[in-house]
Amino acid sequence: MSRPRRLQTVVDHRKFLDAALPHIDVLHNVARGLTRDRGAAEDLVQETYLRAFAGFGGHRGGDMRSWLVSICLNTARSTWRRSQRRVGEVLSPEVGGAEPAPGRDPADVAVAEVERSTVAAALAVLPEHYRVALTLVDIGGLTAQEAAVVLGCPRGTVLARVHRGRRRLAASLESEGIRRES
Amino acid sequence: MSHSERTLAAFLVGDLDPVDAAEYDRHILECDACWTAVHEDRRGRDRLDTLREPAPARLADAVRQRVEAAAARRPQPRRPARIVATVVCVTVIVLAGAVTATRVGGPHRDPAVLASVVAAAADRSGVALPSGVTLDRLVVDGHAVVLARSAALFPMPPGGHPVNDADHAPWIAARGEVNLLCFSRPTPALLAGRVPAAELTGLARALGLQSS
Ligand SMILES: [Zn+2]
Repeated sequence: MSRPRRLQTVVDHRKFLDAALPHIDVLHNVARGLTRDRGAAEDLVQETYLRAFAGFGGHRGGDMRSWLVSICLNTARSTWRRSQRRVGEVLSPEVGGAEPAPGRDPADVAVAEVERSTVAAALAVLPEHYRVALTLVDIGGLTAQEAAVVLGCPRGTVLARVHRGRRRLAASLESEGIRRES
Repeated sequence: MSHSERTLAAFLVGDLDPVDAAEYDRHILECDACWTAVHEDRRGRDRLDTLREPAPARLADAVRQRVEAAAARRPQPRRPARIVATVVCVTVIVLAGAVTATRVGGPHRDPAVLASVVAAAADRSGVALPSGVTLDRLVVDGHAVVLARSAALFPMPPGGHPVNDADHAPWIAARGEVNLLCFSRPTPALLAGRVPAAELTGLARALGLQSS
């Protein structure tokens, strides 16, 4: 008696990877906006792909990028619920950890990393609906329409949250800058 | 969001038509509140821009490895949460009677396979399976079904009919209480169960079987 091949034949994982892996930069950036550090962001991206693979057959038409980002956001939110903390409290600034960029002056790299940490820390303490809108649109690069689909809200709401979120972020970074100089 | 803030957000995202946008441009020069809002928005956007970066190569490698491991480790039905019970090895017992009962013509395969699938779907314990055919018993959305897969096409039996006019359209057929739904693409798959034909289509979709 030969052992039957199991249902994995139903899903060709190569087909899934071909369709989903091109969006890894977007997911990585979204995950960076939703998590406290690079390690957590990479874990979130991996978990997103595993969930997406499991649900690939349920994805019928529609935009693959928005679908993956939705899974990423839901996964992040369930992590927040499990940890019983608001994401802003989990976030902390970090320095270092990026892949070394060949050919770049190490001092420039360090300065850029400090800037990223500063911005990430300011983003982390924004109210969640601003933070998520900014993460999807300004960091992830989704259009307002795509973000509206992911968030299940009108596009105008996304635009308003992005605008107000940017202003709050700029104001908080600048007030911090003034305080530091004084 | 106030009316002026809505206009501002529309201006910033490029939604305003050229005439309105030009008018708003002039307004910004005269209005402190809007000037501040526009520039604060742009400063915020520029700071956030610094957070964008390509995913490290190691991340794509890790994703690929984990998906491959998941594919190899366990059955990966497309909607696994809905599929409760898994796969049984099917004992090979020849059911000559069943074969003659449903004998059909067909150049690709001995029709014994159809009789076997019907017998398995009707919960008869041992069924004959031609070599090259695998059979999984599944529970999908509470319905017990069997899914047969093969490299060769399953022949459409007498009384069966294609569900549409397309080439390679799925076909359906009934054998007593058992309904059959068969796909030829991407690989031949025959789903059968004591389930109404209309529901079988939904179960096939849950299993990720192609409908075209
Ligand atoms: Zn104004």
